[in-house]
Amino acid sequence: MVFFLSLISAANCQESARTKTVTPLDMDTLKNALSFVRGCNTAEDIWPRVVRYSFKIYDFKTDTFAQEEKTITIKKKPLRIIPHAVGVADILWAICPRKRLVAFNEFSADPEFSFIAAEVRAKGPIFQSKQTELIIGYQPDIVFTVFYSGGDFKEKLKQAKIPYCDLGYFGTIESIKDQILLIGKIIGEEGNAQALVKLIDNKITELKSKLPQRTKPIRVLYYDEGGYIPGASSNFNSICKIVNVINVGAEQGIKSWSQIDNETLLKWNPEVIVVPEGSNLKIQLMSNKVLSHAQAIKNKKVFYIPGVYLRVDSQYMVLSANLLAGIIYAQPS
Amino acid sequence: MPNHLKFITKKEFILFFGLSGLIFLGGFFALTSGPWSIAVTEVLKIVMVKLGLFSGSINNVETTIVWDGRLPRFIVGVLVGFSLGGAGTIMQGLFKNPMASPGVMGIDSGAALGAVVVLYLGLAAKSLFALPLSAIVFSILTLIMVFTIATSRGQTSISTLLLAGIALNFIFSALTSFVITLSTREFDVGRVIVTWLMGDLNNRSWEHVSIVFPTTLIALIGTLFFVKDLNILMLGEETAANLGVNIRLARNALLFFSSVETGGAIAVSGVIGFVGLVAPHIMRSLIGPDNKKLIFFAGLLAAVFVIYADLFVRLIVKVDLKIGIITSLLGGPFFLYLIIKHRKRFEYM
Repeated sequence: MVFFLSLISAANCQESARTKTVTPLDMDTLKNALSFVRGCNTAEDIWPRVVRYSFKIYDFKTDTFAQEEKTITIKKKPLRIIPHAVGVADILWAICPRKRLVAFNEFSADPEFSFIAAEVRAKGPIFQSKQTELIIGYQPDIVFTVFYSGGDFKEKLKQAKIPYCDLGYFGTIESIKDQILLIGKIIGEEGNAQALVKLIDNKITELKSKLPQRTKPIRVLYYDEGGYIPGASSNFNSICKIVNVINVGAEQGIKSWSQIDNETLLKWNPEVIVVPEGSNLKIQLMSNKVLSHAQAIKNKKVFYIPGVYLRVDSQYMVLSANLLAGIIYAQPS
Repeated sequence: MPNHLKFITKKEFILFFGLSGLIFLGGFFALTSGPWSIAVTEVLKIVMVKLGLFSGSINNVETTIVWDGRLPRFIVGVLVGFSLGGAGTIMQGLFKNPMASPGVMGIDSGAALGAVVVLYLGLAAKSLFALPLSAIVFSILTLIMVFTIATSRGQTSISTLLLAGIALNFIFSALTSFVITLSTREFDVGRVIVTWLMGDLNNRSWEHVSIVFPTTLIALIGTLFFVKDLNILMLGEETAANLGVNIRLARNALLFFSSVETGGAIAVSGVIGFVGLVAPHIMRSLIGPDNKKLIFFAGLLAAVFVIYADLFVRLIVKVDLKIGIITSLLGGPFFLYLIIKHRKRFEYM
């Protein structure tokens, strides 16, 4: 028991990368800017409206993207909206008047997953993702589901005659911008959506302008529990692209996520390794004999990063990129 | 030489060298193959220098890869296989049932629950020893529970032991599923748990060897003290009692040692199915039911299974396929074949 307790207290003493890192852009200002955006609505407020959109999903079986065209008819301007995923909640929080958001799922209220967890908890109500009855009970005008929401959940909504919009891939900043514009069109907030997309572009440009110029980009590897590494279709890859670094997993041919052994990690030899905060992976990697020859280990370039920054699939990806840039280029003080 | 003076028959001699040869060959492939290309001569030189059989300069990086990466993984594979084969032999002998394995007593699922809880609480990520320790403790606790349930007025019934094991199996499996459900919130932890439940020898180190080596050795030595009793117990409890066997002591000790073996193996490798069931069964058909020999031979065969399954996963498939999937995929159909071939015999058991 004493052994277990000492382990837990050691974990609690772990330094937070978020609070110790000097980032190119101020984190709080950036987060506030991305959390509330208002633009001019130039589109006509005509209802019902038919929205055609491209639904793109990642097929994990074949490591390829599948795409199909979908159409949704919205009879009246949705005034009662429920997001069924964190990324959608993030976007709606920024572009939609908040009184129209009637409920949030549990992940949106969890700081491990959501940047707006505190605000969401304060506003509420919160439902568990599988509590279909509760969601139906809120009588929403529209529910934003995602490709992993589950067929049974969507079927229940259909049976209850509750309109839902199924959203696809959110893994890159470009796909996130597409989703923002689509959500804006569906809820009748095109101006705000366009403003948020513009803000993302501006902030990325500003961030890039503050990055040091390098002839050779830094090679960064994200090492998760169990030795899992994200590849080309992961949001980490998109974050790396924003800050002009190479995601070693993608460079070495990983598509989504793959498990590697220590010998492979040594062979790939990244310059920087980032690991999720709350784990003990930094200590494990630094003390591993096989990895003692890897340059990131030798140069002590293994850094913790809070999980929420790595799981992000919304406009807050810019926030993640800003933190990663701070860690890689400036490094924690 | 008269037959009763022969320590080992010609068939057993051939089998012993065949299995040992396969293990050495597996070791050769395990040490010389991997993502980092190292010449065979260099690997041999590293091993000889490290064993003090040769002096010369060796590359630091390559030495670390071979000596601290590939070799402990191979040794863990051998010890895990040997433990599972040995534990399966004890169980099948004790229960006089070819379907018996450490799994039927709930020891597998108890150890798995212990490991999964530690993974879920995040303690496995904080210390290399947390998970193995928990798996071993849970496997022994399971054994104590099964015995407590099955013992009445100082008598332990074999059939009640078996039934209690099956019941605990269901309970622990349900609890493991519950922990997995909880862990889906943190999908990275959930992924590690699922991977572990499929059996894995990835990134095993000397620390893992230091966990599984003592459990294997203690269990083997302990079992050897009672293996003669195990042979007699297979003739029936009444006969064993008449022949002066302390049935209670022998049975409890054998079950304890098989739990230690299973717990130690699962602790470092995760759940590797079917090896403990199939290896003793095959060996029994080849060398007969004498458990003195069977424990060694089943252990060797199980080690071969585990080593080659790991090589297959590591060098041939190279995707996220786990060792436990391979052993079950190959072991399952083979076991079905044995059942069909010998079904007449099973009907009368």
